[in-house]
Amino acid sequence: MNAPEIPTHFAASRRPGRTARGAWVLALLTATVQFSYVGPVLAQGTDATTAVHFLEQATFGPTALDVATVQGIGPSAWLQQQFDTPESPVPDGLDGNAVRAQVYLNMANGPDQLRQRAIFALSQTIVVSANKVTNGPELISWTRLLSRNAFGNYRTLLRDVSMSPTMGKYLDNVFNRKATTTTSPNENYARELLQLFSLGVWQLNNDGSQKLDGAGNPIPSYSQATIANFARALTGWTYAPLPGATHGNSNPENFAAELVPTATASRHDTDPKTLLNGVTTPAGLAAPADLALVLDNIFAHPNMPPFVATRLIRSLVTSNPSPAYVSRVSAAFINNGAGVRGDLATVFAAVLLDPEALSPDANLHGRLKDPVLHIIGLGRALNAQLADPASFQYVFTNLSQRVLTPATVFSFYSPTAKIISQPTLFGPEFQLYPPALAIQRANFIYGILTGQFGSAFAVDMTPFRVVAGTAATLVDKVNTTLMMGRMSAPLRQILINATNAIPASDPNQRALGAVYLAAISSEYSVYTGGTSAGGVIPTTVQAPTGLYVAAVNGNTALLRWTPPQLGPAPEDYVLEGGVQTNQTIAAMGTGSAAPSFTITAPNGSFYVRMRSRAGGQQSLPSNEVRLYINAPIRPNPPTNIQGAIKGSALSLAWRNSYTGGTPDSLMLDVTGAATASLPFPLIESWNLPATPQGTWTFRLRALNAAGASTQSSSITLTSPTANCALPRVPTNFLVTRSGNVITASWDTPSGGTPASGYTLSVGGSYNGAIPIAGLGFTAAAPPGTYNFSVYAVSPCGVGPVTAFQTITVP
Amino acid sequence: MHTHKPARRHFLKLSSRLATLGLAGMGFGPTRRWFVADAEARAVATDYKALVCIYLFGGNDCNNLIVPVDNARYTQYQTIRAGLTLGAGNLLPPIGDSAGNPYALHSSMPEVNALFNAGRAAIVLNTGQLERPLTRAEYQAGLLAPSNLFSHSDQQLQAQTATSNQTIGGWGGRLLDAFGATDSLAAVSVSSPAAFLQSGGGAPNVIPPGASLGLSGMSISPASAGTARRAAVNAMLALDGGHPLRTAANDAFADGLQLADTLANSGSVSNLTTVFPGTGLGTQLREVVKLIRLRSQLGPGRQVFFCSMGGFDTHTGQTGSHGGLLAELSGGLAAFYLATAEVGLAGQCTAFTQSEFGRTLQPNGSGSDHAWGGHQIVVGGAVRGGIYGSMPQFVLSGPDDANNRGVWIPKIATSQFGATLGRWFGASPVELATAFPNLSLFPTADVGFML
Repeated sequence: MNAPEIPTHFAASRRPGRTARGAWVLALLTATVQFSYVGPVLAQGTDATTAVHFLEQATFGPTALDVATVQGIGPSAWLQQQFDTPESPVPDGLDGNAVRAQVYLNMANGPDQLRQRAIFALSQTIVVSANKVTNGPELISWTRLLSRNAFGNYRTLLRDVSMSPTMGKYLDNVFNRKATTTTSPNENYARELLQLFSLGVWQLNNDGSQKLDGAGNPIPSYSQATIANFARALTGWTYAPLPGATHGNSNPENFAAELVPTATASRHDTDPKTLLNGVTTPAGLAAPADLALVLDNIFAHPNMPPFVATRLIRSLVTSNPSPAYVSRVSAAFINNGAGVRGDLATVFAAVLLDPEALSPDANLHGRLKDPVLHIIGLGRALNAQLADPASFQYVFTNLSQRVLTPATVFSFYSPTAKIISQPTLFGPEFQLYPPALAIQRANFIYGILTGQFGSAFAVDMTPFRVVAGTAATLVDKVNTTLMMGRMSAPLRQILINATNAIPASDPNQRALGAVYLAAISSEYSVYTGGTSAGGVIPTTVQAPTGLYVAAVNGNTALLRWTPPQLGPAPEDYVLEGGVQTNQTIAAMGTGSAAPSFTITAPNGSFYVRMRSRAGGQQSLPSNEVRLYINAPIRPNPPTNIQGAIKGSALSLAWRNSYTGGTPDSLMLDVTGAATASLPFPLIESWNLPATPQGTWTFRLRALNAAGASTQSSSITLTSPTANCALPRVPTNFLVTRSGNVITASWDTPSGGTPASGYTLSVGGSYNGAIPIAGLGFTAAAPPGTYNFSVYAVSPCGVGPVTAFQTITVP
Repeated sequence: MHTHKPARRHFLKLSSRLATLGLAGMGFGPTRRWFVADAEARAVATDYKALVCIYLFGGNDCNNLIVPVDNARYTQYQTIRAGLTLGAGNLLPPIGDSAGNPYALHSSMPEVNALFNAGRAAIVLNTGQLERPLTRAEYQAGLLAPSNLFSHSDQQLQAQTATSNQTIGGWGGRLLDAFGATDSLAAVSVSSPAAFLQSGGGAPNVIPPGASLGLSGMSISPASAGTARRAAVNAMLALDGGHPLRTAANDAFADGLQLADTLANSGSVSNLTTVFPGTGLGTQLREVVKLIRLRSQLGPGRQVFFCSMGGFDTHTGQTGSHGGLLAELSGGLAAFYLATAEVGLAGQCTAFTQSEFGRTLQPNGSGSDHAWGGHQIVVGGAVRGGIYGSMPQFVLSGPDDANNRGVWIPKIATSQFGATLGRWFGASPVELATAFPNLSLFPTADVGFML
């Protein structure tokens, strides 16, 4: 790498629309010490794996040319080139759809890939949506704002955002005015400025973790009163007057210029406002001066660096960064090496050149691709022609990621969303990848590869077709283009097998299949780093999968299964079975490589499994299935057993299972101070008003003609008192009103445990619970509407509540 | 279909066996009263039912959804609402609550008005997020209010989870857990992904209206090549390199394949004759009814759906936009009810609205700001039509106002609202207590709007 130039006037080189390159280079030199960069980061040459991985994070997908460039000059020099690359334009005069198309094309084809990726990240942190700001001029000025600020200073970005007519319209600050006798200032922009664009709701440490109070609870960043004060400080703005028009307080929409203070200065609240961290604005300031104080106040807040660091890391690099990584990027935000806070060029460099980004070793590293990243990345890797996306924008809408059009001010997904099945892990993009959308995304790719979108997304499959005669050559071509050489050995073999199942005389279908399968694999949809996607091909014969009973006819049964996709091809299979699980009483070879087999079996119920056989070796068994030959099937035990004892009243509930044989009846097994098994019909809950004192454990079995299931999971409950039943509902509950005096009366419950007292529950204009010893209540009430109900109380607990009676005191 | 209504024969057999075992005397003997009543209450758990959440993103201004039109309260409303007041021309003919107090719906909702008059719609007043019953004095003293009130994202989560503890999923998903319903059609969003549907039980699905759900490219010639390609997909889904994010991606894809197989095996159904409005919500609800019909034909079970509309964050220009939004809602609800009746499932499907908050009674100019409690609509053949709960007193800084702008402290918690639906859905009291952790802090678990 060439020796980086060290400018002496880096601050002066800063101008709108162009990065402060000098400041960044200086920061990087400092960072060499500060971030302990080593080896590959600053070295001239970079290995292909690192280059591919780096470009996954810094662009909308690596191309062969990009990879070669990064290999040649190294990631840091490539970043410098990108900082200096002119912005892709968003021309004047486009309508809303055309702006959406232009933004997509800039992502797909723009030479300023890093800026485009930065815009995408920033647009999901500071959000407007074309579902409200729909027209061309609004979206043009917004897109340009993010583009010119992408490598600027975050303080300037927030200032430009606050003055933006597009944001003013989207979050309603444009006509925000001082409180009147009947209205209060509009809080919308004030709240989102604090919550979404800068600080977040909880106070943070520099490593992104929440600060905790003495009791171990997170600490709010601000209160509702703070929001109200910020909203007041942000009053007094309107659109700039159109050329030649008179300046007023509610100028018509104008997206060609920044917002301006209203003509009437008193639309702005000039009283002092209490901001964060003890700062109070002085009285008498005009709207621009108050805005500057607001932004200074936010910008100085200690949440700002870790808040921005975490969002940018999640968007570009990994869903689950280490606290140390966040700390390092926070440090770059706090000081770019030249004493400047909030320098985004330095922050993006810190995000992308961090050891955790370039040489990830943790198994957690990486993120699921957004739909836009997945689809555009596919096109870039395959050197596709990407033109006006109008014909398939609806697909991105279906995939929950229509460009420039997130559903809400929280963008397409929450940056703090976790993975449902693995709740310790963050996986924001999984919000856009539920089951049906995973398939929809795959089908979109299939449509692209089969030419469904014509010249709008044209992939030339010729390079794959010409090598499709040999499966391994085809798959290796897919690996070097789409996967950039990182395909795992097991995936390679799976694709070769699938290719060989298609006649070599059909190179189109072979090429399509290999590219399609690779593009929908999780090796491609998730970027994880590392030299390959992992996994080794087994050398021993593997087990079949998906064994099932396809048909039973008298004593004859047809079994089918899926052959193993990896390892040596099976020569034949071995069926084994017994009358208990995992038991082998008999085994027989199928004598064929076909994945099906017909057997004749005696009456009874059996457990069967299948093993593959090759080269004199047998695989592990497949899944085990039950085979019923003229035999009833035993049921599975009930599930979800739950229960509680309130007073001494027991409630149990469960779910009967129909996944095995159909149950006819149930058996409740009780252990504890006594042991019993109680037969039940097929109910799904059981109540016992008075449970004997003691601790009891309950389990259920399901029964039918074939026998009993195993026991369900258990629940253990303790009844603290002997025969302590809850009281019943009071009777004859009546509420009347005379003037403003309300009288409620009721009678004792019918039967059951005697009540020791009552509670009168009041809702409506008054909320409360009034304990009463007797059978009535009288009180004068202020005007209002009241809902009354009453319940009986006994030492065991409280009984059910009567229906509401509503009384209005005029 | 499994029907488990206990026959009298069962009961007699049970009693005699208990007597034989000598257990009746020690307290385990069921008495006729609770046994019969309880078993019948549980029997419905073996049929089909669906809950459909229509989420109104942005915070619906419920103060203009339904307005009290007695002189005293309408005057209070008019005084505070100022420029946002709905005049006589923007209100439908009065409807009454159980005490005969007159109310009127926004004029954009004639369909809901008709459903109300037919006893098929309930309006539940002033419901919202509460940790426990709360008074103005308690709120102002800082006692146990929900966290981050007035914040869209937090209140959206709390409306959908009915708790501040967001690690336990949404209340729709938790109700499904009570039934062990984890199939790919149990929890479906026809809109955006929703916390409402999440739970420990299974991954909720997102199904874009009208989309084809099968995986493309699996039927090729020769058929054996198609079989091999599908086997390759299955094998790929077992490759994750030990990486949990890839495991999660593979799981989502595998669930999608299972869903497509389920639907492919369910056969085709004829088109609905009910005409849905060509709105976003209408299109979503048509997809919902389609999935309801498919799933109900597969046998007993439970489904929870999530639909949504946006645009309710009416900080400005509310008079121009709110009516259109309510019209879309009203038309969609009516078509949904008619379509469920057409397929014979009206009594087994209930649709209801939710929104993150109501809006300030006091305007901010041409709009209103984030507030708290709001009114919700419930529609279906099993709805006990009427007006439930109490309208807040329209007094700024009054007993129902959390601060000074008409920010209503809810009188019916989201937990109570959800538990009322959950009880109809067939969840037992124990299951409701699990699904709504703070339910026991409120005086009733059943607000009464469901049969």
